[in-house]
Amino acid sequence: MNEQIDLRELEKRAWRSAFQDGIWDIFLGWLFLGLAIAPFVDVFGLPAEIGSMIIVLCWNTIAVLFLILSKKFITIPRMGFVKFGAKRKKLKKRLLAFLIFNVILAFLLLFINISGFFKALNIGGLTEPLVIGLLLITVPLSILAYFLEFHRLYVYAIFFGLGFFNSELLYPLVGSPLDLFLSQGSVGIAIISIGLVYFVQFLRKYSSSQK
Amino acid sequence: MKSDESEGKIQILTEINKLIHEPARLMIISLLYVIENADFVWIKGQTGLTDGNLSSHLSKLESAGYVIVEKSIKNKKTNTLLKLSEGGRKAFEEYRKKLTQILGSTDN
Repeated sequence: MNEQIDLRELEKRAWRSAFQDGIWDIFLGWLFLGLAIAPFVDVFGLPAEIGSMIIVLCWNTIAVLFLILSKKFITIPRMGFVKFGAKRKKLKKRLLAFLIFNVILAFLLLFINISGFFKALNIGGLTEPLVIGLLLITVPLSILAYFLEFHRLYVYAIFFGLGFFNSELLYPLVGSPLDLFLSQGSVGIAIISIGLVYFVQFLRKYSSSQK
Repeated sequence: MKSDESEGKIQILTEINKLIHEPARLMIISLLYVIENADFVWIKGQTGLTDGNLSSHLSKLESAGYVIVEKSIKNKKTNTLLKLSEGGRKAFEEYRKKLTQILGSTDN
């Protein structure tokens, strides 16, 4: 036996096993699909921006409910329950602090954008959606992937971040809002599909049992 | 001189905690050492042991005071929550120390 029992690696492997059910993938894909679908739905004749916001909010609520309920009723009965130690609790606190910081940063950038600061910088054309996507989506999601040790999320972060850029590329060809649906919706559907593959594999591996 | 040292080291083997040294129990204790607590199903999935086998090893570890077993009823089913006791934690650390003393310095 050449391999040592590496306790740190054992803990990491146990932690990462939480992502093998594909539910996080489906959740993230669903969130992104919501952004792509929202502009198509008419909410009681409300202005498009408000209607989209309502749709995204409802869509995201479904996603969060799906995440919580499927973990509770599908994953835990099959895979079992585990509570990790102090190190993970510390990481969770840091992650929460980071998410709060990220929300504040997003609002700050939105405010700066409204003030016309970016226009004054004259970053136009394709650079703007690329910078915004990478800065506001890819970087935070990559940090999230690092904290969660959810390696597939790095790839999703890149595709999510490029969504606005791709949409801008597609706009002259298909117009709005189809550009958004094709660029972001396709990424959402692809991630949901990956999640479903993991989910089926998980269901095959773990039959429903409880002691 | 060196042979005396080796002889001394080899004798530590007899001091190794045999309860922990058994591979299945070592797997269970190693897992419980790196987490706060887990239920029976999770430990079973991670170790690949059968229900009966795991129950039997857990009974031994519980009798030795290394593992705390809490049973409760959840959705009309028994839920078994497992946690490494302070004594179990210390015993495992001692076991690791002993094993490193014996095998840690070997070159081959």
